[in-house]
Amino acid sequence: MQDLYSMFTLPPKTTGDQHIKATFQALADAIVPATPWLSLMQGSEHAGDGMDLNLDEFITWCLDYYLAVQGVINVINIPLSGPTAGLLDAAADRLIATGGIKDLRHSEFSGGGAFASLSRDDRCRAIALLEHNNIELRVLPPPYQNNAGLVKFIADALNRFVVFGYYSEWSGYGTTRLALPDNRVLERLPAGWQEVQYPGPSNGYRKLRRYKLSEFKK
Amino acid sequence: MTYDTDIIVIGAGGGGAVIAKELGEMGLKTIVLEAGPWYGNKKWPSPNKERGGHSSSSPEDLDKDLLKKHLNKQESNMNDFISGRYRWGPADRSRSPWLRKVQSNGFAWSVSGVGGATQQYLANCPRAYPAAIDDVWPISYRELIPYYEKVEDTLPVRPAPTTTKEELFYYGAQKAGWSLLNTLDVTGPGYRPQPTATLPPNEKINNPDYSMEQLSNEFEGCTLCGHCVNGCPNGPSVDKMAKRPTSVSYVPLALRTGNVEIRPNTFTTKILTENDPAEGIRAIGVQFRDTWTGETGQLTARVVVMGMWLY
Repeated sequence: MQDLYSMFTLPPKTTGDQHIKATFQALADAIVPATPWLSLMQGSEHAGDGMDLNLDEFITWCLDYYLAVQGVINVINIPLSGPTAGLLDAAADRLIATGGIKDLRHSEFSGGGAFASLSRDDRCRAIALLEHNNIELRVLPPPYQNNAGLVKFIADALNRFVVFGYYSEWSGYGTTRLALPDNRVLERLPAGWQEVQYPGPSNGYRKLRRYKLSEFKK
Repeated sequence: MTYDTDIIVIGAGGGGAVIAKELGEMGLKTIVLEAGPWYGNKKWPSPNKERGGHSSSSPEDLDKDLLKKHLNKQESNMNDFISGRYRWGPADRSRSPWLRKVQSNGFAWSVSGVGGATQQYLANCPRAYPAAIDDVWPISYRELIPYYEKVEDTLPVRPAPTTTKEELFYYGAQKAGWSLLNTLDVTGPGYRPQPTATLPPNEKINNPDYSMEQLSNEFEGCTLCGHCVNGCPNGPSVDKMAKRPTSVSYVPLALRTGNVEIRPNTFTTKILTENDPAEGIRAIGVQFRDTWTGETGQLTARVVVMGMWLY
């Protein structure tokens, strides 16, 4: 079998770090929670959540691939998955310290830190702290330390990563899902397509009804 | 001083491609430097994998089949803002995107490449509201109208057709008491079909004697596929693709003038200036970097036009 990792040049492999994995599993689970009750009503394809699709891998891949800066000789890649997991923990610490916890149930993501232990709703509250910079910037890991703009930007980006990973065709890339984009192959029907019974892009649809206006008045 | 060319345009997107066509038609030799890739051009058969050619200046280089291959309508492959074909980054997708310091929530979905962000825009081409121009800009809305008309004729821009979704929207708008706005110059509230830079659906679209594949590949007109944001590969030739980003509208027209050369994968890094005794400090050219090799170079011109987004 071809070594999938030989297809990487970027990002560096931050696989195997259980703290990062647990943190982003908790993130995906907060934004796209499992819906087991839907599977009872509408079939098992509706039960899936951000965790089932290995979205933590997608988030890690995106964060590690995202940032590169020009060094003296060549371009240097700066993996952001580790610092971003630390950022989410710092937000969770802040939420706890300021009495912002609203739900005392806690979650289990093996190897996770403060963020992964919060309930779903409180995890969302922790992300909101980052979005509003309601956090002590000096305690954050670099490159987030004292960098209010980057914290706001990444807090929004985390949302986009989860949504893009979940609703796009990414899950259909199967064993090639972490390869470089040009080496990915659609191996199966993506989960979201199955869920809504979408057969995939079409050449078009015979849906022309009429024209409300034939021309705009000059 | 002798110059390499009359005009250098930085960026081949919504602004640069338009001015290149206009200046080319005036007989001015124009070189367009574009930082991103070129999809659907024979000189770059694998635009994300190999460096390919140096530049293109002929409409003969445009290739419909290549464009259809490159624009495969997959959301992640096309639009992922970090690794998609449409991103703010180098053509080589084994590399990270370019760093853009956005110091706030949200992000700027700008796209490098010939066509720029019009490659993925939804072809919605409204004019600005007159109230947003008059007494706000140093130019009046009336002064802008001839330019709007010129672009609307060229793309072209028309009222969007009605599908089931529009029908529902119109029904709701009517029920809510809004009035239909039959105008491009919007001065009050109401609703209207969007002014769209998409060729109207082919008259055969509802005729089952013609397959959807035929309608997509052989005939002109929007096929109502709904993938505008992923790039439109529906049409019989590059310059007749249904959605009208500048890559299929202004760029073919610019190349047809015989005066315009477009160089993708060329990131402009600096404007070169000189201190002219009569005019003072003025631009005389640019420095650039090849995004595949990292090699730098410079070009001089009588005029430098900046057509790209600035942050």
